[in-house]
Amino acid sequence: MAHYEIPNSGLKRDDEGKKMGMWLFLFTEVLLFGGLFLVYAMYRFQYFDEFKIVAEHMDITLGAINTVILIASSLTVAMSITAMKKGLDNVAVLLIIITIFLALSFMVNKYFEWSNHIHHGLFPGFEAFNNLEKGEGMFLFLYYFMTGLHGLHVVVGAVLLAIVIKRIMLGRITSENIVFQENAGLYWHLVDLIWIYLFPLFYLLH
Amino acid sequence: MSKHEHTPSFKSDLITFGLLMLLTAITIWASYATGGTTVLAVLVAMGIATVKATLVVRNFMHIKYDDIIYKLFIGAVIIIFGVFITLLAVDYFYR
Amino acid sequence: MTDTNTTAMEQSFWNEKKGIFSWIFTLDHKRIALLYLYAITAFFLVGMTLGFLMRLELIAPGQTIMEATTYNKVFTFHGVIMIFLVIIPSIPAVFGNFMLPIMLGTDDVALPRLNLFSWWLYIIGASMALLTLVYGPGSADTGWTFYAPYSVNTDTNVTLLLFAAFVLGFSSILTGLNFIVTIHRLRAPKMTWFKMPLFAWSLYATAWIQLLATPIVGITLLMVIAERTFGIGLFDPALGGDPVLYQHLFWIYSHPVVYVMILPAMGIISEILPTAAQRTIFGYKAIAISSMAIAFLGYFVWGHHMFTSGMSGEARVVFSFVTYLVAIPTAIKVFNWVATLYKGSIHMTPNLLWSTSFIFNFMIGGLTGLILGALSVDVHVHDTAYVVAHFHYTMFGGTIFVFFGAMHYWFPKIFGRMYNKRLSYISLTLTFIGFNVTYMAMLIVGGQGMPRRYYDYLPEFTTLNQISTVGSWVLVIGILMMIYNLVRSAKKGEIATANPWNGVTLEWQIPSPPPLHNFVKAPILSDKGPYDFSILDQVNRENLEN
Repeated sequence: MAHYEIPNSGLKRDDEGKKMGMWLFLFTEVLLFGGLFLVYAMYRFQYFDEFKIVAEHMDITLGAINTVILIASSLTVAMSITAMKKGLDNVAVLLIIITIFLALSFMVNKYFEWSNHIHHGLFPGFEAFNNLEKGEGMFLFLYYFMTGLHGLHVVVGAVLLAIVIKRIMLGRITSENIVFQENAGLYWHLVDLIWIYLFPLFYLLH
Repeated sequence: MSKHEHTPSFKSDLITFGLLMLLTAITIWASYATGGTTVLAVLVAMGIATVKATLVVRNFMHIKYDDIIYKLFIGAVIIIFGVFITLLAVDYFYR
Repeated sequence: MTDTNTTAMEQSFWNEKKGIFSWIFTLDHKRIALLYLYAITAFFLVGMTLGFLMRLELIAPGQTIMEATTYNKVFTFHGVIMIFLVIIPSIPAVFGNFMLPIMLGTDDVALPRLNLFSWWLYIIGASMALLTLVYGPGSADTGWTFYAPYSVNTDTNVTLLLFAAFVLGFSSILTGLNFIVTIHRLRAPKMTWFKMPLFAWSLYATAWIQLLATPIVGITLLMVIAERTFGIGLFDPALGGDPVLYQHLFWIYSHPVVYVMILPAMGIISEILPTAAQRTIFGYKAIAISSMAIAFLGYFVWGHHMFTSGMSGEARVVFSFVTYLVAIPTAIKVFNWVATLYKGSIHMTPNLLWSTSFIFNFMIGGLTGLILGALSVDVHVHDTAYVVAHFHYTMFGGTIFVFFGAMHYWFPKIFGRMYNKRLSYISLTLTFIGFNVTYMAMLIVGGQGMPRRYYDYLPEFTTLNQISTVGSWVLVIGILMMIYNLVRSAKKGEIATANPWNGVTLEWQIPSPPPLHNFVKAPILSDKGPYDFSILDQVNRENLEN
């Protein structure tokens, strides 16, 4: 039987296909958060005054610091891809290490913020939380849920970036074979994108 | 499909970062200037967030170099989400 | 003839590797499709048994074979199994996985490892769902819709079941994602978008719904879990939540998802009918675009499930109006199918009869859907057996009938053997009659006002309920006979040729069963689109040479 090579084989390396897959996955993630944004919007409308009262107590400084941290980490990831394409492997690794460090500081910052709320009993199950007005508790719980899910994505993104470092070290990511790093970068930018909306919704509309 | 070759540069990454920082500063300032929870404040905050998001998607996520199909995809997602929020609003606004 | 097919059998994907691990860790799209097929068949039998028991309970007023609480659990699990474990994955995961790469002229999906991962997610989700039956405080009794606040307050095992649905949702998302990338990246050279088979078009439209609607319900289910865990009022009105918002979010997903269930079925009908009539499909572009139109309009209409839930009047009018728009692309499809058969040289085959049965059932399902979409009528028949019957006419008489029809169409291709046609006609007749007796009676009794989800009813509904129950016996016998025929024939049936129905799409241009990499030589693609029967002679000549 004559051997026929399938020109459009699914088993060949296809960077464009992998990138498309990543984008489609990001759309799913966007709509996952989208459901939460819908809930937020409808309850903000319903509990307008209560939301405002709690929002006034949010610490804009902490939120702003975290915004700067995440945007800076987006920069370092973008630059690491630029560096990798230029063949500057060591620079790329250094930039990703900085990114992971920024991710950690984001989480530390978040930890202090959450523990400060919990210290005041503002978490489900505590006396102070149960005494809140209905809409006020709603705001706080949405805050925990949305920033919590976002924090989970920060951790996943940081793990992905750690894998990128390992693959660069092993020579499995090169300037010619960079799709894994680009996809990890896309994921990281999504984390930033979500935060760009979370920041005004929870901190600035007070 | 031919890939349009582009030379990535640190400079454009840094310019994007600068713009994002500037917009962050503006949105914090605007939240005080617009009084926090007025309709104007919501529009300004969401508007600036959308400009920032566009910058990230276009420059950091390299949509400006990508095939047109990705722009169509993103447009479709935005439209679908817009449908959700509009129809929900029709219920909540009139209830 | 037999010799060539025996060699084909030896080189087929069935024999490439042996052992259980060569199946459960396979990257071959055909084997993954079969893994889904076996799992889905098993779950279908469980769901069918539960449905059968419910009908048996309703044979007489009052308690017959089970208590009210048991009945609640049974209809909940019947719904969960049939929706999440059977219908949603059925056609995309089985026939989509098996046929899509072949129809596009390639050897696998774009992301084979992700495909295997989807199957594992499916199995994990299914196991968790089954675990709720035996582990913890008793299986859920909320109905498959998990409406808040009852799902928040009930003591039964809802949390795990919700998480199972979440995991199953991601399995569905990743399958859809894979198909989109596959269709974008792996079409054969010269196969442009409008030369793709219509089944591929329907899978493409489906995949977009899976991708964009499923995460909404995923996060909603997580919110209910959080609500149960932390005792917080996201949807519970007693704690300040809005239960109508839960219904909104649930139906934002669950309405589009009925198109996930029906669109691939419509795609398969568009494959079977041209082959059966030996002529090109009527209105190719209209059918392709109407698939996309249904997928798009499907996002606008979720509110018609909630006409009596306390939405604003304005919203109800808008949703009722938009619901009618969906009928347009749906009708376009039906008219084109009928026009395809007109003046065709129709060959009587079991798969043709399954398809025409589908069109019959689906017309009843679709037209009752219009009645339900009318706001003023729906207020009266909401939550009656009428709705249940409508739903089964579309999902069972629609999707599952096409699933069976597709099984009869592609069976020789997948297993390399032919089933007993006589037996298949008998089983089809029984299934069709049993189905229509069961659900037509239910439709009428629902119109008379019998509510759904009750294990009991008023004495005046007795006769119709008994007719319906007897119908369900015929239905079950027909289905079991069909399954017996297919299972037996997979081992002992006559050896099938490469192209038993004289089709021209790419799956009929390769041996039955397909070899590991599907194509051993370049497929023939007509310039006139996928259903150009002038290439049939050439296709059959090439097949003989294999």
